[in-house]
Amino acid sequence: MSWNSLKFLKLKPFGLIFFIIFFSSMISACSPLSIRESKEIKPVTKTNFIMGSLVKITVYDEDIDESVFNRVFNRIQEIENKMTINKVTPQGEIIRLNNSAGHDFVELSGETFFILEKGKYYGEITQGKFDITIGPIVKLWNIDTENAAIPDGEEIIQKLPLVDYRKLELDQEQKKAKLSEEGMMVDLGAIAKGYAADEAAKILIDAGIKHAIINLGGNILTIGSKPDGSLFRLGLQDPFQERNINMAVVRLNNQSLVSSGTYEKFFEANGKKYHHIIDPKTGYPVENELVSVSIITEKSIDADALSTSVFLLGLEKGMDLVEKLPNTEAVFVTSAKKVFVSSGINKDIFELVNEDYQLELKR
Amino acid sequence: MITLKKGDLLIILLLLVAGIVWFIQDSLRSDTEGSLAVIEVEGKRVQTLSMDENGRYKINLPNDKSMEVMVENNEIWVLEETVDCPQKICVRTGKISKPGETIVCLPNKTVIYIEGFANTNVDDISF
Repeated sequence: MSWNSLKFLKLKPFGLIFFIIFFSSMISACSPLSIRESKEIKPVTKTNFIMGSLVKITVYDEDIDESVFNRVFNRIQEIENKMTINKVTPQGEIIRLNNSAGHDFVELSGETFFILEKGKYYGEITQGKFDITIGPIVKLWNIDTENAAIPDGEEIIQKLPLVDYRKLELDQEQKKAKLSEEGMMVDLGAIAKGYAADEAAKILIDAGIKHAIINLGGNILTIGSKPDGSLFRLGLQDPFQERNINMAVVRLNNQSLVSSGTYEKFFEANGKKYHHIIDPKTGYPVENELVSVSIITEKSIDADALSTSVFLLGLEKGMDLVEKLPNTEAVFVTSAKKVFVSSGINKDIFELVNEDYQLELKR
Repeated sequence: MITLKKGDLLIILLLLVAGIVWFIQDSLRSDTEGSLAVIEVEGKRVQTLSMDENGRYKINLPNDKSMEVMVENNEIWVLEETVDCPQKICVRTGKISKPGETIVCLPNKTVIYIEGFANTNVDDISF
């Protein structure tokens, strides 16, 4: 370029310098706009270990009061204390309920009663495939502890009659509950984390937070979207690979995503894998063609309970249930790496990122 | 008619170069570049490691235990010979490098994650 071509601008040397400064900053400011904008959003993450899981809260809002994280962690701890059957605490309501099995009604807090009601509801709509009175069987298997081992078959047969959600009596008026037979045991392991995530979200929202991800042991609950309006992108763990390797990406907006899979918690014995999703009808880990089920709902308590429910129901009955429920979607992955999705899932919110998997349209 | 002297040209050139350098730096500082690995034990941040500083680092765990991690080529992982938990899930997790990925050790209440910006491939993982 010849300097003469600048003549038409009629710039004096100072003007020219200003022009160049302006031009240079235009290049810097405009072109990488997308990078710059998102770079300014640096989410704040805090972690803790509660309910036997990693709790990871990521907030995308600016200028947040970080005391909110501790309030969330304390709240989740409070829920654990009430719901756990693994350690005795003065607040332990489910332990009290279990200890009074076959004898007395136990007074419960509103939230414990609410979770029990939800648990029974999922028992009903799955004809008992989901059963919060699975406790006696879960104790036999000890999965997820160092003592995991195949229980004696006789013992399983003995305990099976104690598993029946219909024998959990709920007194709606007085918020009391009773297990009708001695030895019965409620275990909220398949639903309590979902409830805790919902409660965590309430605290964050009350603190004015509009963009966040709550990750409670792999259960995801999102608040809003990202600050730029785009949806959160959540990876779905590849059931056949190491942690952190995804087979698909799901976009969420104010929704929960919970997965249940055979890869999650298991132990090996006699050359066979025993996973943690136990069929209340048989007392053994369920065996069907599925390796993972992921559920998308608004409330995390529903996604949590449904991921186990639908896994136990299997592909066909599970899909039927999902299609009947409002605002509920599901992704099924089979051992043959076939992927089935419910009718509300389209390419805008779901994409496979591993070519080994094949999306099947209809069964 | 403007006449440019040597000094003017020099200033113009300097400003142009400055602008270009600014632009290039800006576009490079994305994703993994300059990201941090955060190590938290029992909810407390005990260490942050720059992902572009290769090395072997010791992490103190509860009950006077410890483990070591390796940072190399923008990846971080737990060294198997340095952990003594039963399942070694942290080791089996392998290497992580991107925001959203985590290495979790439940028995030692320890998590390692990559701190990043919002424009990542995935924001978190459901498992």
